[in-house]
Amino acid sequence: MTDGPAIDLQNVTKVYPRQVHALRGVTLRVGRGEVFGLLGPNGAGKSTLVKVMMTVVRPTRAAGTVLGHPVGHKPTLARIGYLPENHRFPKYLTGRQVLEFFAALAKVDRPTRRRRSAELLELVGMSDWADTRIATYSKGMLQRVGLAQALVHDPELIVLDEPTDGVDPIGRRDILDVLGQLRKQRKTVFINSHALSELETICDRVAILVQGQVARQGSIDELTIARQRYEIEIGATDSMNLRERVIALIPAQWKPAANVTQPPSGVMNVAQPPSGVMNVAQPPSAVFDRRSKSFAPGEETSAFGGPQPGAAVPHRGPQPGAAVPHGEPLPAAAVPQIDFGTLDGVGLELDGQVLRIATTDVNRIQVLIDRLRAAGFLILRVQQVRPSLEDLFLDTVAHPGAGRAAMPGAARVPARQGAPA
Amino acid sequence: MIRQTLAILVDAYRDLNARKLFWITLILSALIVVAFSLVGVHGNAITIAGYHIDARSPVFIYKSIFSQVVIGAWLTWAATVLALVSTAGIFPDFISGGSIDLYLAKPIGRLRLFLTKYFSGLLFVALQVLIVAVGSYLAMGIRIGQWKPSIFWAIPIVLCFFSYLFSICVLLGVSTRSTIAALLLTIVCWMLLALVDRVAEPSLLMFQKVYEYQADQDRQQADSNEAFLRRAEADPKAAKLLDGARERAQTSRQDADKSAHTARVLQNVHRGIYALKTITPKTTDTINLLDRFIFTKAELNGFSQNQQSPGPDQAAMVAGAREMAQELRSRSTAWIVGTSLGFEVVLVAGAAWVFCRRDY
Repeated sequence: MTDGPAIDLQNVTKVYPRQVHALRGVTLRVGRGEVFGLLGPNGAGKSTLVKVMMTVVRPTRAAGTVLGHPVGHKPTLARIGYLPENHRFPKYLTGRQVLEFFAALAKVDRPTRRRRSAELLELVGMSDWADTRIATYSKGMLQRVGLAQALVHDPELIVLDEPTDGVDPIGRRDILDVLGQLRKQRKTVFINSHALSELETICDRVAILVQGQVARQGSIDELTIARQRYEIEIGATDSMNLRERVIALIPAQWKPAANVTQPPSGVMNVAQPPSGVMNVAQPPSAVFDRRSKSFAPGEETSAFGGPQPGAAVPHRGPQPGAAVPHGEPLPAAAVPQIDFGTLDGVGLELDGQVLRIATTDVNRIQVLIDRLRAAGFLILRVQQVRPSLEDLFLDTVAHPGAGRAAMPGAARVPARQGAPA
Repeated sequence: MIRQTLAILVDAYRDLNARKLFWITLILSALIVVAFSLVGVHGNAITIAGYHIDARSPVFIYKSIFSQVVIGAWLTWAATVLALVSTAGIFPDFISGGSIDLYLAKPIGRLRLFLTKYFSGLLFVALQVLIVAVGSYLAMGIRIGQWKPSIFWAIPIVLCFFSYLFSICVLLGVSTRSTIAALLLTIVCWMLLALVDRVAEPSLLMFQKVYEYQADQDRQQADSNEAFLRRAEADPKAAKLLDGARERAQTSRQDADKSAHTARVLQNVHRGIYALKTITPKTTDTINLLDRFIFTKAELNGFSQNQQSPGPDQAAMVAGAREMAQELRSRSTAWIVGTSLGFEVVLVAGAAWVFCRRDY
């Protein structure tokens, strides 16, 4: 069966004893031949989701298919390769024996598994260590053998849980090369990883899981286009009243609804209230939430959310003991949809002499540039900026109420119901 | 299916092969067999490495050495402890995080995976007892000219014995995920079972028989004394003996009643212990089954007879011991092994249920 998506999960729920809600209705779709990345903070339910697919964990409720068969269908596992996180191979086996043993469990006949083992050990650069016991391997070597183990039965779908964990840069590059080869072979690869920069380079699509729910899902372009912007660095001989002069240059049709604000840091924000026709950088609550993130005074912030490229990324990780609502279903605002482009809106920010415009519309930029030039400003730099996957991730996992990342660990919905946010 | 099962069995062998304790135990087993081969029979004497020891029935003693020392002491005690130490970690290691995921993610059902792993865990003891049985068979054939294939009954018997303990160990290992807890609690269970099987039940049975015998003797004595009393009462010449006869008759009747009461109490307690024993594994009885295959009936009866050297005060004890031995031997193999395996099946089913239902 080669039609249909490789993975089509619907409403996957897992409640562990003591009301630990690890997965809360996860719906996910991975096409054939895709390299798909699953992201999320610690305890978001990523590993549980992978384990549900691999029948290691029994779901409380699950619909959908994996390779065309219902979730939990054992024979289908012969067509899936799996590298678990922190895997532990029997220490008394050699690398070659590991591959041959797990290939036999996947019902591969002896000649094939011998041939495949040799090929894969070569592929992952472990030929010289093939007949040495696993007990002597380093973490990186174990990951390489683990990857080979996941591929030994030539699966259609490869599920990798933290494949580059503990691997040195050369090893990571090698593993990414192998993943690249798998992509060329039109294999479906499902990667669960914290290495965002690596995922960004290899994944066709990603999903971000937050507290057992899919917060975002799509291609990286789709997910980041909403936060793409232009930066115009202007040169002005006279910096007096710069802010007012720039505001005066904003096209008239932009201005009526514009809400110019001055954050404590002195950065000027121009945002659009929700009732406005245009310039809606984000809903007012989101603007407010970003302000309440408690950035240190003077820290570089943006009306468009998140740190600026090149600026130090403010720490938004979980704060021990912080009263971040935890366990409640995330409100829609927790997943800010700052889709400037599709709304045809524009948000503006003047940070020093850098003007940031939240749009992907080059014509709008041209209009502004023309006006700036006409007013005697020098245009020192115009640059289109696309947020990284890390920006997207941090933005997604931040709780709108507290501004910090959602607390680690699975949700305990009933226990927390009614808890103050 | 066969490919997967074979792979797990080969893996189990590799696992054993990598354990030093397996090889140490195997070498010790081989040494025990070598030591056994130094024992022989020459005429009416047992020879041990050239030394002659006169004996009334040397062949019987020779077989007893095999039954009591090679199997009874080595395989069912020392080697079993080593086997438990080696195998207690099989399931806790197997179900540990990062290990079990690799197995469960393969197209093999959880129950089959569990059972295959369970039976592969018995491989340790199977290999040990195979070495001992083959070596002893050859030794017995060469040294005393008795080629007894019945020696190979030691393999299923010792395997059954070990499997009772292994089932406890596996249930504890799967439940607690701790090798140490599984090992220690299994040994505690084993000691309790041995206490019931080897000490409590036989002792109660013996004392019950002793008191039944004693009650019988006392009853006969009381009847005799009462008959004498009746004759004395009927004979005017014996009037002066009446008081003494009356007292003796009364005392002996009281003794008979007391013995009968004690026998009844012991019988009730023994019934309770017997019921407990019925539903628990009978480790000692299982190992003792080997005697039925190695010794002839005459040898076994002779063994019982040889135990008695009763003085006048020991008659009850000897009779009780003989009756106890006869009753123990009268228990069928089906009852001993069947009920023990029933217990094992229940425990393995429980462990399998835990294994199959758990999230890892």
